[in-house]
Amino acid sequence: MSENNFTTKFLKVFGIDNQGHNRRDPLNIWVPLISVGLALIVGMIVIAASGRNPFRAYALLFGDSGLIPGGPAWRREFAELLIKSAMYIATGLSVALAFKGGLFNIGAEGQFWVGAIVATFFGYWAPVAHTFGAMYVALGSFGWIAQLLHGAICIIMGMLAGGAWAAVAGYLYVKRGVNIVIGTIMLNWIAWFLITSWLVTGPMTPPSQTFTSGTFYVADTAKLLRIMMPTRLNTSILLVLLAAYATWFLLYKTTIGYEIRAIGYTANIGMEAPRAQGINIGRRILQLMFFSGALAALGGSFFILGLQYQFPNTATMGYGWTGIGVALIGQSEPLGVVLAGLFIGALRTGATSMQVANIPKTFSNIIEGMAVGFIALQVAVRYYLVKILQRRRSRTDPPADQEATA
Amino acid sequence: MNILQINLTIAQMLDYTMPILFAALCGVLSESAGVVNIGLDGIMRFGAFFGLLGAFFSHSPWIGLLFGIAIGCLVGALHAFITIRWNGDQTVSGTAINVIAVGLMTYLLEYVFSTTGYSPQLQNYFGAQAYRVHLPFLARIPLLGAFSNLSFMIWFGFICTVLMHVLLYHTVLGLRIRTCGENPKAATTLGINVFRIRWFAVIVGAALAGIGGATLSISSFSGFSDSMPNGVGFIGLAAMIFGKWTPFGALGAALLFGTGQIVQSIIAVTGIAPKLAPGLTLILPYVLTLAVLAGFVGKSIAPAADGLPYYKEQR
Amino acid sequence: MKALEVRSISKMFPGNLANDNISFSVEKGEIFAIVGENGAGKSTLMNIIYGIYTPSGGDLLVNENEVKIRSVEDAIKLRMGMVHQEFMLIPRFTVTQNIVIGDEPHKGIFFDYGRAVREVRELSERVSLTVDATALAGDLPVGVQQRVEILKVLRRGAEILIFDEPTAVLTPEETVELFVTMRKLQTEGKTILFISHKLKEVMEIADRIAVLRRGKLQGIVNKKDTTEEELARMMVGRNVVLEIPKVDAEVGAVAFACHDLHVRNKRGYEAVKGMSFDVHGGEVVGIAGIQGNGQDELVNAMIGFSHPVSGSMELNGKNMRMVTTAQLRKEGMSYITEDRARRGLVMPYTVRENSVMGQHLARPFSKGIRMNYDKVGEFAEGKVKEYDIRPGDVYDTAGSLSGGNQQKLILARELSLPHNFLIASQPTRGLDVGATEFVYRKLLEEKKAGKAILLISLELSEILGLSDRILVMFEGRIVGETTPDKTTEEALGLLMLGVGIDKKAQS
Repeated sequence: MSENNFTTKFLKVFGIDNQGHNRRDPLNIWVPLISVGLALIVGMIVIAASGRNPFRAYALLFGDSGLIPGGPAWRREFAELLIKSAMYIATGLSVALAFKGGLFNIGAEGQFWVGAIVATFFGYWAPVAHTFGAMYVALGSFGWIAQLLHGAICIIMGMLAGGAWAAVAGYLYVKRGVNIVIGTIMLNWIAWFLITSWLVTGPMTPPSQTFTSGTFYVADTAKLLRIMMPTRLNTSILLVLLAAYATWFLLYKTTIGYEIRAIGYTANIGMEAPRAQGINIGRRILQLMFFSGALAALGGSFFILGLQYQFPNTATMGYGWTGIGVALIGQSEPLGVVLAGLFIGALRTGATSMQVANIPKTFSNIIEGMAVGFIALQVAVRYYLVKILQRRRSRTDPPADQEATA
Repeated sequence: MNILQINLTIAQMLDYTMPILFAALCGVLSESAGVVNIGLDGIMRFGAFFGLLGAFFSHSPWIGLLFGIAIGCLVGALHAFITIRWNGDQTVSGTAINVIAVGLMTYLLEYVFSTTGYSPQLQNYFGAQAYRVHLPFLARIPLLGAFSNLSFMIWFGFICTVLMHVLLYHTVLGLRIRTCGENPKAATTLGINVFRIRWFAVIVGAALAGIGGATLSISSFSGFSDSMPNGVGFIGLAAMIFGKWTPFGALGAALLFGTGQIVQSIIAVTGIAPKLAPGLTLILPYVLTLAVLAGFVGKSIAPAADGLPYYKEQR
Repeated sequence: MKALEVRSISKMFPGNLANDNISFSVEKGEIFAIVGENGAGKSTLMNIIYGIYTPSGGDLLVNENEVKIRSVEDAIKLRMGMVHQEFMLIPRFTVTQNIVIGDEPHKGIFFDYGRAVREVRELSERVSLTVDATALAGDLPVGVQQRVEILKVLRRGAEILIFDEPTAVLTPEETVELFVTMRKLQTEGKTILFISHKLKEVMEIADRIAVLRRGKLQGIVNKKDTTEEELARMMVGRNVVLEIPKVDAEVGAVAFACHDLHVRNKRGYEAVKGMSFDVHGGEVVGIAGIQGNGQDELVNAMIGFSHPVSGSMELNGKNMRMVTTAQLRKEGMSYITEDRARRGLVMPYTVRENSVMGQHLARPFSKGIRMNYDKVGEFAEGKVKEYDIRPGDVYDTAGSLSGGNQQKLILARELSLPHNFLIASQPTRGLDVGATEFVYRKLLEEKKAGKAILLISLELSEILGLSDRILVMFEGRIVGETTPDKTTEEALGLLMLGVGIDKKAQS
């Protein structure tokens, strides 16, 4: 593949050396970089078009994003960056893992909230809360053990619930042929409405008050531990990095991951090769969806146990959808997802500062959406990239409505 | 409840139904040609804002409607460009549109109106008494009376349903559109330009979604709320599926789901079983759709080549 | 008048001269058949005539005028119509809709369905092709669906009709009806070309027959002047025979046995119609047959991709009719496929990762769910050396290997799995001489080691060279059983083409 050799040399210039192996896809790293880059450029154009100074805007955006040390508010910004990123990485891992198996888990949003509500419940439910409360007191200066355990219970239960919710979609797909995208979208909304219209305003709300801000608050022992005081930073970022490692491990070091990736690579051509080798496709897909949902639910538990300490009335959707973008930008690789999640987290953190320059903080959504759009166009991106690199007739796919060049 | 209240409730139900219907019709047309468009929720958001924009500055809801159509076409063209010309993943493209719509409309709301949350109110909108379609002779009749004082957009919704049915099932173009959605390879051997037909279906469909969004801001309500369309696009998607990818099916499903939306308020008004799991009616569209897809409620029949990218053959 | 003339047509594909200087002409009103084995070049020639391919050399003449056919539209304009082997019908549409799409009768923008139905009925009556104009195409039996395809083509004014293996999917009754139709069309002055490898039918319907073999035109004969046997002889020539050494082995117990096996194909028709045979350890049983006679369905049943409708299948004496692929493999089945890209390997996976698929759940490659990629790498390195897989980098993706090396990788994987029954389905397809020799050597080693080998191949020389026993498969049944020393390529070829078989005795 002449394309391969040229790109290999090109990549070597940037220190990325795949050692001449005929590896899977040397262009993988460029698609997200270019997509994000183009999105940022278009963003500048949008800002300029609305009469504001794009350079000042981006200086605010990145300067206050927590990525760049120095400055008075950096500790706080850095904390915000990590707090947000933790949730985006969680949902990003969820979607990425599913992609590896050939499935589009667009329902990370619903699984996120299922995890959140279940974590909330185990955070305040009397039998559990009282047990750990007592344990906390009993352990004295080792009280933090009770906190760890209570938090762990909440998170684990949340992940189990989120995993089960995703597995429903998986089951409908495997046994009933229900398209995964549609299935997870529907379950998204079912979860959302059941939670926000019923649980949060009904059974899980303190009955005595006339106006409530949400559900019961979780016990102190359930809250995630704070690190880096006096900021809001909690242990969620550490947990999610652990989860990222676990995802990587699952994919690349276990038999489950081996089979999942084989299924993912052949998903478009009928999965005959894995089937011929005796791999149980149905079982793996169910497991895959379960793990995927559990990851998204982890993010949901962060939302509650690390930030809100209750399930608030004011919760709005977004973390799951962002996770899709994170997974796409991160090219479904755990490391890529972590980096992409941090990047999006930085955008979100810095975007609030952009309001000083009269730019609403949803600007980061626009950038993210455009990056996803460019990734959707990746065939075009690759096509033009290779054309530019080679300056001769490329052998990659041209636009669909033209004859393929021989 | 007396006749007037019943009629009013039905009218309100129709108000809820129409945006769902437009979204569903968008899906029906687009997927009949074989292109999935889950970005229709985002396109509705575009339509809601731009519809308001046009209506606000021109003081005429008609211009708002035009704006809604125009922006729908534009965003539809983008989706078509990505998925038809470059065979980009249809779901990813739709997601991109949804995400951009969220951020961009908030941005524009702030940029144009210097507010967050809600745009300024419209005086001239289809829901205003001055703009409603008045049929006073129906007013006293139970049920039909609901139609005595409706917004133009509701009538437009019914008209669009009929037009789409006629298009798909009685015109030459409609037959060819459906062929592209069933078997694009066969269509090509018969001399049909699959690409051109799909572009058409996606853009016109998106225009409908834009209209649906505009319905929210210039008909049901008198302005743009930053939470629009509140997931209505996805209810529309559900309605399309539940309606088995046909226009009249979509209408029926939309009416059903629209009813579900206001059952809440009915319960509140009549005081029946106030605490009866309020979320149930809200999740009805999605549960029913899953039931249909899983085969529990009759066979669900999507166009055979729906969602599959098409490459021009070179053997 | 010559309706169609083909003059010195050649078509070159990379590494393969599919059509080599072919010349013939077809008279108007003739039924002209083109026969040949798989890979003889029939389809390529038809595709050239129909504008799907452009010839590398030569000319085409239609109605004695030289023409350039660069696209299907050009062919249709020249009044040619092709009825493909795979129908292009839309099951959900009616017969009428299917026939008129692209050329719809209309009133302005409105589709005049009523008139369309009338037109279809008129056409159908005129050519005596009965169809129910308002039936859904998906509800129709295959024979009627074919009629719809024919009507589609006639509606566009086809004067020259090309049929690509039209009887492949028909029942005997439907075939009779098709031939009646063809005769009718002939009386209307239509010219018919049809491709087939079913000599009996060709002898029944054709006026003249052209025989292709390995891209070259072997000869054109009048039906009156020839016989099935002669045609078969022309089709099946001497192939390049590789020296395959004779290997003797002790024949052991029965590893695989099936009895009265019936298997359905994807369309729901029976493709395997009652096969019974067994394979012993230490022997190679070769199944010879032309593609499309049920071999694929038989293999699918044997590897657990589909379940037989009836009959029994046993592996090492255990009932294996309703089991999963995993269970079959556990019982000792290994499978070498010819479909490397879809079934054989996971192309984006590296050589390393592919090498252990099937035994990745076992020690030493994994312990519980933890996979030991180091051991996998070691294993792969060993196999790469043993099988001389090039280039020798286990981190290369399978997709980057050449066909021969991919097949070696498949062999390496399958032969290292614990097994005692090996299914080799066209194991040397697309391989060069060197790779082919390698595969043969390995198969014979297997035989020596006492494994039971079932070889399914379209290459007669392969069958004759490797098998201890030969079964000939035709239309889902075993129509002959013999050994290499008791038969010849020609005799096998005849059997494979269904020649000399008493049809009555079969049913």
